[in-house]
Amino acid sequence: MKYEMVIGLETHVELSTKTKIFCGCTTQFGGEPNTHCCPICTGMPGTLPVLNKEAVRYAARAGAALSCDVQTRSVMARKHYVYPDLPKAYQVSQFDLPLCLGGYVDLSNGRRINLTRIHIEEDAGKLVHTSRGEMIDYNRGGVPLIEIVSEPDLRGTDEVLEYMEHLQTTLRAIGVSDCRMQEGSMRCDVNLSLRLPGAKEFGTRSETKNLNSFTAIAAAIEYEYARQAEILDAGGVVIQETRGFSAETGETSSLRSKENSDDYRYFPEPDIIAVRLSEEEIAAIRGALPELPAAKLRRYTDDLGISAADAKLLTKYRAVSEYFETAQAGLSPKTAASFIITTMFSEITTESEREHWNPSVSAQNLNELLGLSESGKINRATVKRVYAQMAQEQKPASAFITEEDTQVFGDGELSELCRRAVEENAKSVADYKSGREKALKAIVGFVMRETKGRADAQKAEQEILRIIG
Amino acid sequence: MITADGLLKLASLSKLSLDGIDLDETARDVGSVIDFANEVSTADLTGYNLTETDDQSPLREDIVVPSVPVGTILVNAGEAVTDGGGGFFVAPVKGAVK
Amino acid sequence: MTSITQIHELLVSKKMSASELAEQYVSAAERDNPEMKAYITITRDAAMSAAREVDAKIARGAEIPPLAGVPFNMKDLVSTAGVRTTCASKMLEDYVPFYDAAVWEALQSQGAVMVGKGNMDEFAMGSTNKTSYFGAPLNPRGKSRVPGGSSGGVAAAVAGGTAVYGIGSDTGGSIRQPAAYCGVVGLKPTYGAVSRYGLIAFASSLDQIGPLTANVRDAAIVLDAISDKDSRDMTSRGTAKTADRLTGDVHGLRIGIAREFFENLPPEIEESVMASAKTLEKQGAVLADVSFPMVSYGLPTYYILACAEASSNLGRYDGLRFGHRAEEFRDLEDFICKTRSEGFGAEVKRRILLGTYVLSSGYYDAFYNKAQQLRRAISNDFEKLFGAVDCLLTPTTPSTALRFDAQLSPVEVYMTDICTVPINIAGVPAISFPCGFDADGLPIGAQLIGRKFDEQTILNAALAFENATAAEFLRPSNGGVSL
Repeated sequence: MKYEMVIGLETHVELSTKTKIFCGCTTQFGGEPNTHCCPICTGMPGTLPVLNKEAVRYAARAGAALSCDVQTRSVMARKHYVYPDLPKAYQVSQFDLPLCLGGYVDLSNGRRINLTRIHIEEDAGKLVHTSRGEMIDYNRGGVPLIEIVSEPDLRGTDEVLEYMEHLQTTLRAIGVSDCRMQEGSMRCDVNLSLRLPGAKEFGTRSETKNLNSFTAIAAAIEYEYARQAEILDAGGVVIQETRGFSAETGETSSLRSKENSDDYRYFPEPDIIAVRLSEEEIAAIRGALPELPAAKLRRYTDDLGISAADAKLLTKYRAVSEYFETAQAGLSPKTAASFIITTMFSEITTESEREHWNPSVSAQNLNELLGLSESGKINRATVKRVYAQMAQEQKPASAFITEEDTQVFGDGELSELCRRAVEENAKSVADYKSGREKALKAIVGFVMRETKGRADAQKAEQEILRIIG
Repeated sequence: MITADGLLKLASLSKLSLDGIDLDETARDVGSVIDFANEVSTADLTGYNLTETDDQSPLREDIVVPSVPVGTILVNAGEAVTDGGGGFFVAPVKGAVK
Repeated sequence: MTSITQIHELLVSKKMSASELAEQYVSAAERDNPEMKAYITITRDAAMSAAREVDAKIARGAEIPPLAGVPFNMKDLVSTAGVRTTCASKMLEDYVPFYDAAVWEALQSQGAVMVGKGNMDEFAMGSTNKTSYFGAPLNPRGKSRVPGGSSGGVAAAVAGGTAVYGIGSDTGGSIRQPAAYCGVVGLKPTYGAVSRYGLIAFASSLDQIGPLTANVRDAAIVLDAISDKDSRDMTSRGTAKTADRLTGDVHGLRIGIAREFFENLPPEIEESVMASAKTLEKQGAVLADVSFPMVSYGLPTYYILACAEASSNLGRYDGLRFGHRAEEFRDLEDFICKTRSEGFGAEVKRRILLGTYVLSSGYYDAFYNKAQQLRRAISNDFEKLFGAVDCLLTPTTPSTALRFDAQLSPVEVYMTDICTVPINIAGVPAISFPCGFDADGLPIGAQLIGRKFDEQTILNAALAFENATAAEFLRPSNGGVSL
């Protein structure tokens, strides 16, 4: 690429508190329009905000998890603009004194992306455009959000997506947000400018608003790169402006330029004096953080010896990693990891199901089953059969393992049987030796028949190969 | 002091229409109030302790309380439509100018 | 003027029923209002039904709270479910809220009888009541005079005998100034003493609800009924109960006289207020000359802060969820602008424009930020003074009630609040009480300013004055009910 991308992100994340930021209305997603509303979140004259304690705690927890400096005193501020989805004609947000300063995200390529700040604010309502007018639904109005602002430290689409994924897994792991982009509970604005590699100065940036999927983020970045590069190649000047992205066309288009940009007239929200957290409260929030996905990922790869790809899958959702941790206790972590990923992930396929990981075989029961296998008490075929039965009837492994199952052949016994198999299947041996690989299966099949499936097919195959050299 | 142009910008931010209003006269009127407010510029605050002394405001527990019925929420709306068990406020997008 | 304690006595002794009282007050209000305009809406049915409930309670032999059955006037910016609440604005001409303000809940729980909603300056922005969309109420003490503002209709109802007391709000003097003009007592409690939940906001950091009453004890009784810590208002704290601890004893009380409050006063006002100081001194108080150099910055500071907050608070009036709607418009933007321009009066628009100006980029630091610093400086001055004295005595207003036909510029009207705005800026309590009359027989008000959450001291001092002067400055109501 001719130009280097310089990208900063503003990521909005809805907090998963039970109630809105300033009133007791539910934050539940969906619901018939304007049924999760009260005089406060519809901005009726005379109403006042009362700040939700949990929203502040969640935001501080997010700050702690992203290595921010959580402030003991921060101030809510009114940000003024007029739009029908904003009932008070101002959004209560934070301006010069946000809850969290600094922080960072470390990427797998070794680069550190610094955060500017994290602040708390309220979400706006939703508009449905019709020929009759804008249909306004304030159910989402007043849902607490945090805005995570990064420095312009990101240099390309891959970094942006990894950064977003990092925020997503981290915020989910600490239980402050479900970060569902398709439901709008996580969305981001991309500030992007170009410069020649090695240049010190930043170019003029555009801000593409409200991207609500990883695909949209990648497409918007790609489009903006091409658009700005074309302007620069032609010797033109990029203008600073706010742009919108259309998922249909994959293009961005100008919403408004800097010259007629809004004047938000921020000032401290007089109805909420200040947000205070004591040093002790902040320390307690830090102390109560669970192991974060990034640290967990490192532990899985470095200490447990799991591949990076598998570790990523296991740490993506907290419920999955918790399940894995229980299932692998006292066993080889790799066995449990591979069972979950190869067997269970092929049954539990959607992201949503994995996020709310609740398989019919409990982690304890799986642990017991894998333990029997690892200690050689049952073979793979039995594991497969018993697992299916466990899933069906939701009982522990012991309920399905017969005496026969546990009569696994010792190595000596198996060796003996394999020798017999080679002797009695001379034709197959000859076929195999002449290059028909499939013939091997017939010899193994003999062993399995003789043992009624109790032998370890893989071991048998190895033993047969050893014998026929 | 404020110019007619400045007044127009102010009116646009304030979402007030100045249609049919004498801009210069209104600018003089608003300007006189601004000049009056501008007296604060002459205040000498040396020797004053200007640090904030605000108290902790009591925060609210995260406990759901029932919302207000949608019919009540919409009761004062100039235009609203019902939709299933809910309803929308309607913001007009195209008006009728005589 | 009939007092709350007198009414309570009539009810408890069964000399009159609450229904009879309500009938008299509502009828008087209905009779006088076409001329006097103290009310925007008279709520006959609700008043009568509240009164019947009080009567039923009395009939059961139950004890009744001090405000039970006492007819009152509620400033029309307090949200009353089912009763239209207009803020004296075309914008809310037909607005009927669906929830009750905290103060109305508190009063209802006492069995209060609301005669109706009091006239006022539009959105409480004004000092004369001339900005009311429904026409200005007349001052019962002189019908060619304004009742003051913004709680003008409330003060006029009490002075005019169509309410025993009133609930007003005070952002820069809006209880005390009309109380002074109409010859009644007006108390602005400490910021945070009374919940603002349901008070339609003018300037959130300055607004405070308080009583306008016939005498000092009544002010204490109403304050006790409405002050409470409310979980729906993060700035509310409540304040200590006062009525039972009223002594009227000022022995050893240190009263500061700050000369800056007495500059450029008409002699009769200065003389009356100084005479009240002497009266208190005779009762045992100690007078001390003190200085309050920041007084002159009070008004510009106030207008910056109040208008900044007002421009923000009034953004929600866009015609979409409630209120006036423009009928002719091009698009949504035009709809909102026309709705607001048609719905708001000239003074409200002037203040929105000023408020927008002082917050806009390039002016914020010189105006809003400087005013915030001045707010802290003025608060510092009060704190320092309250180390040396227990309260301050000042005039409430630099003039008596203005003539309706006085041609004053906006800034000249603002000047009538010069003595009252510093109190709101610092959030301290103050009471205005009648202390004299001018050559035209119009009432003059004196103001006592106290420490935060110490309403008791200024109520005691004002009561001491009332007792010492045998209430000679409390004149009977002009019109209305005479019992």
